[in-house]
Amino acid sequence: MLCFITFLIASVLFIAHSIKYELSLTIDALPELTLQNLQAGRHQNISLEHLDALLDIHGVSKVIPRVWGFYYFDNAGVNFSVMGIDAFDHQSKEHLEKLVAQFDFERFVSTPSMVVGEGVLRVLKENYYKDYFNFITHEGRFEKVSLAGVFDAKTSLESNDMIFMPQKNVRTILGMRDDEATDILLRVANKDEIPTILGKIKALYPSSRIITKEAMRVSYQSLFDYKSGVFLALFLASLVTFLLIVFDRASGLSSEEKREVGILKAVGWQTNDILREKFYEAGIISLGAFVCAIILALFFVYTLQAPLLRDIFTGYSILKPTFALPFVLDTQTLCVIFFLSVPIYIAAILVPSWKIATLDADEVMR
Amino acid sequence: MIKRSTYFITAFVSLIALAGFQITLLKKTHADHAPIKRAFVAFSSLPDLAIANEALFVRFRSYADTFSLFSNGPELLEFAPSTFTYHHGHTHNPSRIERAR
Repeated sequence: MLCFITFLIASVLFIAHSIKYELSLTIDALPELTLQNLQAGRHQNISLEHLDALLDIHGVSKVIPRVWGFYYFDNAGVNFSVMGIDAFDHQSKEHLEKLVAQFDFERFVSTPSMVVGEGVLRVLKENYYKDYFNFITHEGRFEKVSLAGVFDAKTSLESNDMIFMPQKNVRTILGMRDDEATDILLRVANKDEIPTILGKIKALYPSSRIITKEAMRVSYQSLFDYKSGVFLALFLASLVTFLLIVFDRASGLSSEEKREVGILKAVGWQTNDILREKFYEAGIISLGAFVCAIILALFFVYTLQAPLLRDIFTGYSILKPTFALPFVLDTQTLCVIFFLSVPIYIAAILVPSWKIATLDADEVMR
Repeated sequence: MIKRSTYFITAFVSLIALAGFQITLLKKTHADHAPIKRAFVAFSSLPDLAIANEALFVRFRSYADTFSLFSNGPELLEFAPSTFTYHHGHTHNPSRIERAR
């Protein structure tokens, strides 16, 4: 039982730590500032007229309007994240050639084409779309888009539900005008200037919402911190179960264990000897359970991809990525699991044993 | 007694060795895909992992604001407070929307 509870706590903590590691890996690649337009408390498209004013702000090195959104595929009941890119931009071409196996650039620029994630490809194939897909545009017309490539499987956790296509196709599908964008990215050369630039943008556009990279880092931290989220619920449930077992052990020894202590006292064992024996016994059991639990948790999470637990993290979404989490052995997590299981269990065995060991042998055996 | 102890110690040391072997094997088989992941995020400039994508405010949680849930439907706010969990009947414990009517 101790091994099972420790295995559960370890599995949850390993998954949380791996996801946190995955997010922290990529956060530095995100833009410093993201500007969104809010109207009546809801996110609206932003006008491209803002670009000149934003570029005039001292410290802003680059302003990139972004066209992206969600496309709901009714047949499969899934949401695709559709992103528009500048197909003729040299950097975009370089990125796509690095990220996409067998990328057909000529096809990508000559005909309406898209690059998709593995999950999108799987859904398209399940719905009998082999190398193209018919999007239903905002106006209700069909927009046929060919498949130009699939993102590398190594980026599955990031790209699983994504579709990249030229901006004009995205505007047609999502019904966006040429003079608007979903949001605007701002690159800032000097990170120390971000608060000042933030204040200037807020003064220019009071209804806007500006998200900084630091705010995203904090939101990631709070999501996976012990104080919040589903991780806390799982962790608390496992911890409470473990503490119930420990409490049961600490509330007293069974009659057989009392008799054992009595017999040891009768044959001449001292209290110190009994406690030493109980310490070794509890230590071996708890250490053995700890090591077994860690071995099982590592196998369960990183080899089997956490078959039951992963559904808690993926929710009810149909487009689930392969849960191939990066292997990260965090000594802090191991220490937390160790100190939550081993010393507490040893204490739960020693305390009642000491209470019994201090009594006379005949009193114990009665 | 000594034979049993020897068996036990051997088993314990084998367990530790197995753990070490497993960690070494996992480190070798789980190659570091950090560069390609960073390249993808730098290209897409979108945060958050595609683990759950049932709603916009779930998929892109970093971009979600306090009104994201509300814009899908005001009644969805009942998921947040506990009135939905303890709702036995509209006469006993009315929801905020019913109380407001």
